[in-house]
Amino acid sequence: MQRYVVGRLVQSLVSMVVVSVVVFALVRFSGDPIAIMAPPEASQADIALMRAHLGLDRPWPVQYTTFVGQALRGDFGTSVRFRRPAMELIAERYGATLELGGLAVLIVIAVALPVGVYAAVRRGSALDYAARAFAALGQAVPPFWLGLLLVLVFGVLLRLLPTSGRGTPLHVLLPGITLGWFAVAGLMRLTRSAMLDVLGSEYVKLARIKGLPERTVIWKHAFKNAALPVVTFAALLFVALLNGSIIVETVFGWPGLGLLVIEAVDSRDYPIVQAVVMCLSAMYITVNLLVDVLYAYLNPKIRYGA
Amino acid sequence: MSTVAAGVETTLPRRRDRRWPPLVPLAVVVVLVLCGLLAPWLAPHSPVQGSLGDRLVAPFGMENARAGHPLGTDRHGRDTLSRLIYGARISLSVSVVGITLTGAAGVFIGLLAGFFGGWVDTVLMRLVDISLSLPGILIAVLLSVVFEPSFTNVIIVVVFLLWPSYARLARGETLGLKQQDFVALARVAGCGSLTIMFRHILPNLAPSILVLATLHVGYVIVLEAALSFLGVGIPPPTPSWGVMVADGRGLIEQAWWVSILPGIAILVTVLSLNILGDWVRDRLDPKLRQV
Repeated sequence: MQRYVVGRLVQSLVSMVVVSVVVFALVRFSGDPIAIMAPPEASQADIALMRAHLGLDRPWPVQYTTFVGQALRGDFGTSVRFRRPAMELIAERYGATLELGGLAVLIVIAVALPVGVYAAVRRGSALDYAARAFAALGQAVPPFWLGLLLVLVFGVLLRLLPTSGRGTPLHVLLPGITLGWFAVAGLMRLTRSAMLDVLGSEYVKLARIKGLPERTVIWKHAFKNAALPVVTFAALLFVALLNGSIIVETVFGWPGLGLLVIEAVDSRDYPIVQAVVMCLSAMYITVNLLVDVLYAYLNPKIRYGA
Repeated sequence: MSTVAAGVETTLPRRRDRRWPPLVPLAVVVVLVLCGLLAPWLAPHSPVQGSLGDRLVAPFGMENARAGHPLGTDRHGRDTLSRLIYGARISLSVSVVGITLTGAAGVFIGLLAGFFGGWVDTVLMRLVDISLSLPGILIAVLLSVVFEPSFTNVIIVVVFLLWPSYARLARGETLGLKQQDFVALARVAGCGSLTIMFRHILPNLAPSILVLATLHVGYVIVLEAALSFLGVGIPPPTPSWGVMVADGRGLIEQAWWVSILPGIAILVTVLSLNILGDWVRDRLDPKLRQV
C-alpha cells in the first residue's frame, strides 16, 4: 500500500510539473509581452531596461524557476483587466464554484442512489424503464444546451426562477440541476447494475428467508455491498463537476472560477488564465490522487499492482 | 433452477435482435452524413451570409414565420436550416479527423508498449497516466488564449483527451496476441519485429479499435460543441452547432429557436450514434461491454 501511495504521489507531482511547463511555455510562445506592454514611443534602451526589470533577458530555465517559485507563493501577477492580483480574484470567486459544486453533488446523491437502487429492486417495472431511458438521454444531452432549455422553461415561460447571477438561494437551483444532470445519469446506471449483481447473491436470499423486512434487506445487506464501485464513482464526480462547472457558470453567469477564466479568455487576460488553469489543475490532480488512493485502500487488487 | 437455464434465458433473445442495426438511429446517421457531404447542394441559403431584412424570422407554424426559412433565422438573418446542415459538416469532420489521428497515435503507442514491454512499456504507460490526470477543458482554454481558437485547437484537445484509451486498449490486446502461436511462427519464418507488429498483430487489433472509435464519435461531437459554445473551439461565423447555441444565448426570450434547434440536432445525433455504437460493440466485440 505504501509503495503504491508513494508512486502515485510522485506521478501527481510529475503531472503538476507538466501542467506548469505547458502553461509557462504556451504563454511565453504566444509573443513578446514587452510588445504589448511598452508604449509605442519607447526607445530601444527603455525596452531593454524593461526586459531586464521583468527578468525576460535571462535564460529560459531561470525564468521557469522564477515562475514556479512565484506560483508556489500564490503570485501569478496582476490581472490586465481588473488591475488586481490574480490570486485575489481567485480567492473571491472560488466560494461560488464550491457552492455550485456542493449543490450538484447533493442532487446527484439524492436522486441517483435511491432511483438506481429501486430500479434494480423492481427490475422491469415502469420505474426501471424510466431510469434507463433517463440514463441514455442524460449522457447525450449537451449540458450547455440543457441549461438554456431550463432557462427557457423556468425563467422565460413559467417565470418561476432567476436565470442569471448569484444572490438568493433560488439563484443556485437551475445551475445546480444543470451541473448535476450528467452525473445523475452515470451514477444511476452504475448503482443499478451494482445492485443487480448483489441482489442475485445467496446472502440476500438468506436475509429474506430469515424474514427480515425488505427495507433492511435492500439497504443494510444489499446496498452496503453494492457501494464499492458507487463510492469511487461518486469521488470521480468531483472531477467531472470541475470540468462541467466552466460550462454551467458561463451559461448562467454564475460568478465562479469557470466564468472568471472564460471572461479572461475574451479579454486576453493572461495572468488570470494562468492562475485559474494552475489552480483548477492542482485541484483536479489532487482529487484524482485521493480517488485512486481510496480505491486502492478499498480494493486490494489495485494495491498489489495487477 | 440451474444456472445453465438462467444463462440460456438471458442470452437467447439478445442474439436475435443483435443481427440488424437499429433502423431509426441508422437513418439519422445516414441523413447526417449526407448533409455533411452535400451541404452546398442541400442548404437553401448561405450559412454565413444573412439578409438583414430577414432577421429573427420564426420557424414554420409560428406567427412571423416566412416562406423560405422553415426553421427561422438568427440575429443576422442567417437561415437556421442551412446553418444546421453545414454544422453537420463541422461535427463530422472534427470526429473523423480527431478520432483517426487519435486512434493512429494511440494504437501505435499501445502497440509499442505491449510488444516490447520492459522500460518502453513503463515509460509509455506513465505518459498515459499523466495525460489522464490533466484537465482537458483547461488545456483547450489555454490553447485558445495563446493561439486563436481554431479547428486545429479542437483536434489537439480531442487527441489529447482520447489517446490514452486507445493506447491502453492496444497494449492490452497486444500483450495477449504476442503469446499466440502465429507470432512465434512468424518469428521462426524469419520476420522482424516491425513486420510482426504491423503485418501480423495490427490487423488483429482492428475490431476492438473500431468499436472504441464508434463509441467515441458521439463524445467528440458533444466535446466540439461545448468548446465552440465556450468560444475556445471553432470560431464564429463558421456554423458549428455549439457556436449556434452560443449565438442564441442572449436571444432566448425573443427567439428560442436560435439556440434550442441546434441543441436538438446535437441530442438526436449523439443519441443515435451511441445506440449504433452499442450495436457495433455487441456485434464485433462483446468483451468490451466492461470497458
